[in-house]
Amino acid sequence: MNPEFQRNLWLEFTMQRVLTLCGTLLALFVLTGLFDAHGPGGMVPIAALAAFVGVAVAWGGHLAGESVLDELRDRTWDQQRMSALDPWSMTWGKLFGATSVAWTGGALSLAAYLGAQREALSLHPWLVAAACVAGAVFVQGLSLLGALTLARRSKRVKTVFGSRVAAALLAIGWAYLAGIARGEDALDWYGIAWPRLPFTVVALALFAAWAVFGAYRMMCEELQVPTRPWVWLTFLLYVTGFIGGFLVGELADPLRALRVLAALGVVVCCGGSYLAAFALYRDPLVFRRLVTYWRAGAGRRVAEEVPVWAVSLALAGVFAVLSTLLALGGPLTVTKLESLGPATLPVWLYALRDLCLLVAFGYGPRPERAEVSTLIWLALLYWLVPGILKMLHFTALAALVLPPVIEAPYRASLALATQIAVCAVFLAASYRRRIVPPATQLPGATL
Amino acid sequence: MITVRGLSFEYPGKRALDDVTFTLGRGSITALVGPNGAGKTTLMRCLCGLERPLAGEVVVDGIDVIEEPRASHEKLGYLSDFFGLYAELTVAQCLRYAAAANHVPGDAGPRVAATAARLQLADRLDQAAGTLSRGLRQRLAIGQAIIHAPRVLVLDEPASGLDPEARHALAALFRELQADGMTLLVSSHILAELEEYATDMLILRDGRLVEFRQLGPAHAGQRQLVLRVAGDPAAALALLRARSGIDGIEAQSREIAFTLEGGDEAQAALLAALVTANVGLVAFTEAAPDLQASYLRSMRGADLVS
Repeated sequence: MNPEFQRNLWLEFTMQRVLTLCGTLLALFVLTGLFDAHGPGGMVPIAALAAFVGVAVAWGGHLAGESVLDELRDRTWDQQRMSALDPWSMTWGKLFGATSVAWTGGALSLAAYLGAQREALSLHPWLVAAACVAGAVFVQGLSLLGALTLARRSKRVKTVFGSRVAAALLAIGWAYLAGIARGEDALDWYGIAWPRLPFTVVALALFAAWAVFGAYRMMCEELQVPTRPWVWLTFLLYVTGFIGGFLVGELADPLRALRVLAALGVVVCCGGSYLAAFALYRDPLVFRRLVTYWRAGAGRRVAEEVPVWAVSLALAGVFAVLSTLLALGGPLTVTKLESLGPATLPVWLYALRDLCLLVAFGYGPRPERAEVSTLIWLALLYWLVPGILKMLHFTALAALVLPPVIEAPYRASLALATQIAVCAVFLAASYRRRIVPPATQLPGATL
Repeated sequence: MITVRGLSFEYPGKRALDDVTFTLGRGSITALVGPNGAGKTTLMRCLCGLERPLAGEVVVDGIDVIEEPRASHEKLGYLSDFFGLYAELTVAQCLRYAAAANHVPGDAGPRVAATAARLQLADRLDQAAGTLSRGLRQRLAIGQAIIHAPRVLVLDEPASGLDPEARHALAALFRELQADGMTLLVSSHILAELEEYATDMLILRDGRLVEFRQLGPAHAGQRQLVLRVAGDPAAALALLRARSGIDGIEAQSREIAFTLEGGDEAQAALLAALVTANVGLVAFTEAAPDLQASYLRSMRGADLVS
C-alpha cells in the first residue's frame, strides 16, 4: 500500500470518527424520511445531496488542503520531502487518505440518494451521483493545489482559516454548477446540441482531472523534481478551447471562429499569467539562475526554471499577433470578442507592464508586500491618475497613462511599450540593487 | 561517498555558499562547524536535495542529487535542526512509515524492531510520539532518518537541547553507525561534543570553505602525541627533529605536539630516547583531538588571509 495513504488512514480513519459520522448521517436520512409527508422519495434525496456537499465537498476540501498545511505547522514537511516517495504517490496518498472519512460519509450520502429514488432504472440519478463525485474530486484537488501553492510561498503557515474559507467558497461554486446541471435544455458547444447533465458530468470530471494533475505538478516542484511548463500551456489551451466552444457555436465561418478563439486565447493566457504571477511563489532569484544556466549552455535547466507566468504571457503574445493578423481578413462586427482584433495587442502589453511592475516590486526592499504595492499602483494607473487628468481636461495625457485599446490599438501599443520600457529600467535597477550580491561573479563553470 | 564541486547558493543580495568543493570519504564522521550564518544549514539542505543551488554539483554514492533528488533520498538520511514528529502516531507507526516511505523492501517489522532496539525505544513502540520526552523524540527522529540504512546521514545540530547523558549516548550511536560503514556529516556549535566522534572537520565562514582536514592521525599507522618538559624545550625539540618518523611538530611554551609513525614499539623507543637524553620530560601521552583549538586556529588563519 502507498505509505502516504496508509499514514493518512492511521491518522484520519479512526473507528470513532467513522461511526460518529455514519451514525449522524443515517439518523439525518431516517428522520427526514419519517417526517416527510411525501415519503422517502421526497426530501431524502435532497438531504442526501446536501449532506454530500457538506461532507465530501466542503469538509473533504478542507481536509485535502490541511493534509499539507498540517505538515508545515508540525514541521514534518522536510521529512516528507526527504522521503523516496514519488510525487504521484505523495499526491494521491494525501488526496484520498486525508479525505477517507469524508469519502465514507459521501458514499453513504450517495447511497441514500440513489436508494431513495422512485424510478430505479432511470439514468438521471446516476449522472447526478457521478457529477457529485467529480465535483468533490475537483474541489479537493483544487484545495490540495492551493495548499501546495501556500507551501511554496511560505513554510510558516499558522492558520487553518484560509483553507476553510476556500473550501466553503468552492462548495458554493460546486453547488451552483450542480444547479445548472439540473436544467433540461441542451447546451450548444461548437455548434452541437449536448444534453446538459452528461455534458456537465464530463466537463467536471475533466476539470477534476486537471485539478489533481495540477496538484501533482505542484508536488513535483515541492519535492524538487524538475518540471517544464508544458502542462500549464496545455491547460490554458484546453480552457481556451472549452470556453471557445460556447462562443463560436453559432459561427459557421471558420475565419470568424478562429478570430474568436485567438482573442479568447489572449484573454485566457493573460488571465492565467496574472493568476500564476500573483498566486504562485515568485522566486526572486529565478532570473539570476536563468542567466547562469543560459551562460552555461544548460538549455534543459532554463526550460525547467522559467516561471509559468512568463510562459503563458509569451503564449498570450502569440495569440495577440495571430488575432491582429486574422483581423486583416475582413470586418470585425459579429461578436464582441471577435471585434477585439488588433486591440488584443495592447491588452497583452497591459498584462506585460503590470507583471513587470509586480516582479520589480518583488525585488524591492519589502518583497512580501509586492502584491499589495502592485495593486495600489495598478489602481493609480487604471483609475485614479487617468480620472484626475480627464477631470482637468488633459485628455491626451490621460490617453498616455491609460491608452484606449479599441479606438486606437496601435497608438495604445506604442504608449504601452514606452511604459514597459520605463518599468524595465526600474526592474533592472531593483534587480542589480537587491538581488545580485555585492562583488560577486555569476558562477557557471560547473553545471 | 559525498562529492561537492563548485557549489554556490544565493539568497537575494547574499551569496550563502561560494564555490564550495570537498569530498567526504566513506565511513567518516565530519564535523561541520562555523559561526552563525556561515552557510552550514544551507549546505546540508543542498546536500540533501532540499534546496536547488545556483551552480555546482553534489554527488552522493554515485547519484547526482540535483538531477535525481528522489533517487538520492534512498541513500540519504537527514535530521533538521527544527524537526517535527507525527504526534498522534505511535513510535512503531512513525518508524514503519519512515521505512515504507524510503522503500525498505519486504516486511518492515524486523527493521522497526531493530531500529527501536538500537535507539533504546523498544519499550516505547506503542507510545504516541507526542508524549515522548525531548531526548526520546530526538532518538525517534534519528531512528526515522536511519531506518532505511542510508549510506550518508546528515544531522543539523542533533544534540541541541539534550542532557549530557543523552549526548554521550548520541555520540556512541554515531560511532556505531560509522562502524557500520555509514558516512556522517554533523553540524554543531558544541565542539567538545564533536570531539567525541568526529574524524574530519569542515569549517565554513561567510559561505566559503575555510578548511577541510582530517582530525588526529592521517592513517592507522600514525599516532598523535604530546609531551611536556620542565625547562627549556630546545633539547627535546632538537631530539624530535633529528629522529625519523616524526612529523608535524608544533611547540607551544613547554608543550610539544607531533605525530609519530609506528606503533607501541616506536612510541616506547622514543620515550626511552627522551629519558636517556634527559630533556626534563614531565608528561608523554597520546593527544586527545582539541577541536576547539583547531577551529580557532583555522579561523585566525582565515582572518589573516582575508
